[in-house]
Amino acid sequence: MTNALTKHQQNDSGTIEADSMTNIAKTQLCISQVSTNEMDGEQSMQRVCELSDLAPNSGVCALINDVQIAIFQLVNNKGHTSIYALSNWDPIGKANVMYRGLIGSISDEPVICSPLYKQHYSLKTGRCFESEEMHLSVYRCVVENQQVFVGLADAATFAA
Amino acid sequence: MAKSIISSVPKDNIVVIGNGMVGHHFVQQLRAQSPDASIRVLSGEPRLAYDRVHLSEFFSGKTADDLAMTTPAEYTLLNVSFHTEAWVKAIDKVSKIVTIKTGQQFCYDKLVLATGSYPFVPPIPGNQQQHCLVYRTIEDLYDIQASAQVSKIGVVVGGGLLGLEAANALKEAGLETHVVEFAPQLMAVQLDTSGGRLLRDKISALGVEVHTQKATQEIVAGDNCRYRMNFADGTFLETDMILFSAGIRPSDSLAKAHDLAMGERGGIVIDDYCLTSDKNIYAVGECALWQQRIFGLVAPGYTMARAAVSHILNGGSDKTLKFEGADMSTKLKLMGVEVGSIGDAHAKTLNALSYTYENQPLGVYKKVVVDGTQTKLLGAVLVGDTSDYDTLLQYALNAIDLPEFPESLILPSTGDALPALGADALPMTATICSCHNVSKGDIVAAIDQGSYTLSSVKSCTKASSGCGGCAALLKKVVDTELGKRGVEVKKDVCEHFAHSRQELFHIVKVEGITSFDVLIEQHGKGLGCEICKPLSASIFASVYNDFILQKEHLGLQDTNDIFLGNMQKDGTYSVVPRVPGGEITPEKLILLGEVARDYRLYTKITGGQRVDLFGARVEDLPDIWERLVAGGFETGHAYAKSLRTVKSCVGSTWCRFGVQDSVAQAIDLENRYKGLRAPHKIKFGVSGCTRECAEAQSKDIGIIATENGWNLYVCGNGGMKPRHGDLFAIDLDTKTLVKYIDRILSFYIKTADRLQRTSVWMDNMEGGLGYLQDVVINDALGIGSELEAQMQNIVDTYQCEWKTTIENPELRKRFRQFVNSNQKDNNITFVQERGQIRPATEEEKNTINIVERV
Repeated sequence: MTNALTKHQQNDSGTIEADSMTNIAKTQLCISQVSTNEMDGEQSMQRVCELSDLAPNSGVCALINDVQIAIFQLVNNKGHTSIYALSNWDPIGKANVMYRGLIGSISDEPVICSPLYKQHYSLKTGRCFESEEMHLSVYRCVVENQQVFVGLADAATFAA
Repeated sequence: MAKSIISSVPKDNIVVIGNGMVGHHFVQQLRAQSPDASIRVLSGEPRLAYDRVHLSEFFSGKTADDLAMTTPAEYTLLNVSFHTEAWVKAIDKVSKIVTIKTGQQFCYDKLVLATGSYPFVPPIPGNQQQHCLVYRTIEDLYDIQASAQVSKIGVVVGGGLLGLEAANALKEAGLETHVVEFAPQLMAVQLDTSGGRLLRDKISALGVEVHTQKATQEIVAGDNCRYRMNFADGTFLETDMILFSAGIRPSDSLAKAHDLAMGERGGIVIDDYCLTSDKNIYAVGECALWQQRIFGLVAPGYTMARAAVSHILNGGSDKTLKFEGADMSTKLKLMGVEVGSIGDAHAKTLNALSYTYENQPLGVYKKVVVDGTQTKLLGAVLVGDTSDYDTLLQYALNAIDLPEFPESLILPSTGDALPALGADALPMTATICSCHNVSKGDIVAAIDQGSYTLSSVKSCTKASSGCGGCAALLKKVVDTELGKRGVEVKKDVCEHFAHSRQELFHIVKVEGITSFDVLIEQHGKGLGCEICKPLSASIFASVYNDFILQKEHLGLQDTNDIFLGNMQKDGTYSVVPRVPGGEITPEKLILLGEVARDYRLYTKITGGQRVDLFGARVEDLPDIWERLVAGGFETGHAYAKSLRTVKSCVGSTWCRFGVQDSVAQAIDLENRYKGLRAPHKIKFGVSGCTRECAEAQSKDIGIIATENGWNLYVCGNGGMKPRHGDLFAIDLDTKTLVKYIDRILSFYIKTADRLQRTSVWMDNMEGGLGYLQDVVINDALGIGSELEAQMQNIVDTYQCEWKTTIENPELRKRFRQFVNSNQKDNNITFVQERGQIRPATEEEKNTINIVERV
């Protein structure tokens, strides 16, 4: 189990290729919670929902230990998917609504646009395009066997 | 080591006497072309250059600083030496030394006389008295101001251009104002007799009394006022202040005293390079005499300044600019009266003929003077309406052939397209801005070098920054040129699509594209954004009318559409059921109240005559709507860029004055067009009679009942820039009314820009209301049936979005805060106010007295 996960952690944060998902399905993993192995630097990942709970190019929100996390699944027209997890709290609009925003790109960088006042945040780094002081926390997010897992520790350092 | 001492003054040592608008322009131009030239300015006034053209604005609030064209700091930055009140005593033409009254001396290589002119005061006994003033400098303005404070009546002597400006100044200063003119008419130089007469009538109507054919013989003490002016014909006029504006005379005494060639009646003679009879001295502006003419406008002065700079720097080469006379055409607004004069206004040219149009009720007079062959424009007079000025001037300056019926240039349009001179018809050499000598070619060059907006063209070329008279023409040229090159650049909706909304609409329809993925793959790039996704969603909705939350469209929806509710500041939503025509039964009212009570929502009546319920959490929306739908309500689309409401007043059913059943009409129309999505929101109003209690004229579609049917108004809007609708058609029966509305709205959806309200759409429509009527009523584009079919498709495929949502468990499931918990968003906090909830402010959230917290 651990080995399979380690293989995924070597990918850049949150990006899963369609093929590797099939491979994982073949290994019949069934994980509800992965324990922390702090010596390896692995983080505590929590299962939050089924993959089918995510609508393509749209967001949902998970609650983990009182932290609200917005999860976005991007599907392009070739069928490639990417998943991102960021803080759901809009630091400028001051409401828990980021998951309801529009996904887009600014010069090829994928972004989420706040539904309240339309500021843009990078899905990869969480930085705000309109304000240097503002940012969203970025979390680790993986998909295993059609389940979505999110890690609470701030994963900004893992971003590619 | 040998030291070589250069004792002579550098070759380019320029001294400028005079710092008026033209002297200043000379300094600017010289410095721009010669960063190293030594420039010294000797100004006769106590201040540096200011805008003498707009002097009268001093009395409507502008200060001397506002009028200043430069400052000591700026000249210092430009490395220009300057002295104010530096009257020149002597010029030694041989040693090339200038001496000012303090005794200081300055060497020059080239000397420029920009001494301007002085106001002519007729030799009338008594003209030296204390409140007899002139109107030229800022110091004069201060004197006028002081005198006005102790005067009730003021007289301007001189009814020319400057005199009328001065009269306006006195009027602004609060005086009862009179104009006394020697000639039989005002502005005798620029206007013909009829034009002058109309001008006089209009100015009199503004409260300025005009006295023509009056020659003042003496100014003596008055009985009721300070002075009394006795005229040659035996009449008199009492006044407290007299302002002389009877012409200007060149300030040439210095030149005369130093034996430069002078004109017979004054003025410093210059050649085409603005050189005087001394090869090291130039003269520019109003002090200069070229081919027996003095030019009293700023634009020719600027041209002279540029010619002098060119000659100083290049000598008499082929490249050197010359002054070859100037067009003295002028367009201005005197006391709000538009006046324009072009070329040979008096038809003095041999064989000249004229066409005249006068409209006394409107107070408009227009005359064009053409040559004997009737193909070239020689001159024009315009009073009361100068909207044709730009076009006529271009015809005159560029000798463009006139249209077949030249009178069409000044006759009012009878519905046919105006024969306006398109910007394309102007040659590259056409002067667009005379003050700064900007040609069409210069503008095109600026655009080609990267100026993509009107403002950047202006700052790059300086066009329109002088007298401002060319603003409209400049915009026309810039828009045309941008249109020829950069329409896509201007109209691209965002970085992902190099198309306008209209183009994307067309692409979607013609190619039958039904999803954003296909659209962006074939016609765009990237992932899209909050601009193009909702825009595409709206186009798909308008064309196909699919359910907006189905899989392909879900990710395109904007903030409010995506959860079928208007998101409020704290992330809760408002709930607005449709109340067609504003008519509601008691049972439905009660249901609204019960729902609001049971879910503890804040209730408010809207301007659209319906009820708004606030404070619903996203997870409660389906349950709330389930109750409302069960009670017979439908979605009100308050969250969409779509038809909102059809406001009505109760008409013939109840009201004493109603002439038609406006409520029934409103209900029918709202039920027909509900669900229609558009570039922006659409609101209707239906009033039962001309008293218009439904405020239909402020609606996109406004309908007012008449005895014979319905009057249709279009493109009214509220909002930040309100606009009243235009009357589109009258006395329509319902069938025709609906047909027209179908076509109008479909045409709007087809052609408008993103988020463009109908008011802006109409204001930007070439041909305006007439064009829209042509397209809709006369089917000028032959698309009438297509437009109706587009609308009928929307009507036929209507579904209530909330009904569809609550009947589908998969769709209901999406309405939640957390995908993995039933907990509520604990940031949402309410307090009580006036018996209802409202979101707590940040401060309140931090205090103890919180009513509801989950």
